[in-house]
Amino acid sequence: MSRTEVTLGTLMVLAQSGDRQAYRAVLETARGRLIVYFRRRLAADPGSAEDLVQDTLMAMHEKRATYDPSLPFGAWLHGIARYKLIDHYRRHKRRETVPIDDGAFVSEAGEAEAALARIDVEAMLARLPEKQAAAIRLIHLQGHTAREAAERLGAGESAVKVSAHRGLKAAAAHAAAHEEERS
Amino acid sequence: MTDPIDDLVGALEPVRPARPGALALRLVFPALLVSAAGLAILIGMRPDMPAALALPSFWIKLIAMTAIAAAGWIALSAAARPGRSPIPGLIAGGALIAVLLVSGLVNLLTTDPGGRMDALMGHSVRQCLPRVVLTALPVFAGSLLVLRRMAPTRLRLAGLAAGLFAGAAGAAVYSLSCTEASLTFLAVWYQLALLIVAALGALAGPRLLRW
Repeated sequence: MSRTEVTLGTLMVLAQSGDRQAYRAVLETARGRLIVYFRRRLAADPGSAEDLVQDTLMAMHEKRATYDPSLPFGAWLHGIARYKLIDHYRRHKRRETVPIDDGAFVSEAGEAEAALARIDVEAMLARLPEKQAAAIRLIHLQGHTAREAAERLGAGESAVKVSAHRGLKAAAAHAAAHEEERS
Repeated sequence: MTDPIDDLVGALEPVRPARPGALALRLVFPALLVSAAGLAILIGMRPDMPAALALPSFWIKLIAMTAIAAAGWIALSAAARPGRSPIPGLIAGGALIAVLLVSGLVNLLTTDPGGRMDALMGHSVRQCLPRVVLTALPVFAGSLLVLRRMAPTRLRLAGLAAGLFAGAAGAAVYSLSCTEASLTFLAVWYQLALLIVAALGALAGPRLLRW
């Protein structure tokens, strides 16, 4: 999984737990990809392309519980977008086949950074124990493998994985609690 | 005009990640119990029950059908999530069905000619088909409910996976009531019945699973 997908997947997991900043970052990134996806396929019909972008964002919202972090976020989003496209063809009685791998999404460099810039990651990390924050920084923000992160931190590979995982869980729990307070 | 993203962010509630396995515990497991209880009450378990546990044919039927159901379940849980493919599970299920069919054929050919008709037709061929299909129906309904709570994106394949799983699970349950011992009977009639349920799933999928 590329670094971008890992980051988006992490943000989506935070969104599932109720983190609105993470959710906004995911939705805006998704919208960018969906606009490219539908415009390219419905070049002659920009109105429908626009509607499908909105429909897919709604579908993402409705089905957000079905995202599984073991899957790249892009694959999940592409599955939903492709479904909405086929549904559109069906409703308009157009017999078109959409290949299953219809050139997935072009994931643009810097997209993850842009998404992350919108949420205060550093504030999130500052709340965590240093060990967990360091593990998350190396693995999820800088894109190192667990082994590389373990070498840098001078700890065992599984210990580093566990730290990163616990840290994300704690951050998600904090975000959820925070959200409840506000509502 | 307001930005739809603002609306969606505003509407965000925490959700528990949806898992097909957890849904199955609530929706498919009770359906299996309904099937087993219905079968026991309406038709009865096999009369030679405790002794039948020592028969290889009892276990072959149960294990073969459970294995196909497991492949069907793998396909179903993959079909339930956008971005995952049910095809590996479906291929595994198809391969198991083919292996059993070949075994049934070999068994038929190695039976002496006088006994072949019995090996193929058994004594309950008329009951077997409808009963397997009926036993599968509650499980089929439960499987469709699992899919509806998830997000299947390839509806025909998702329906096929649900039918394969439910058909094989129904056949596994029915095997507790059936005294047929022939491998050929299992390979032909059990599998025909489960394929009927699978075909039903493929036909109904696009209609029943749309969201």
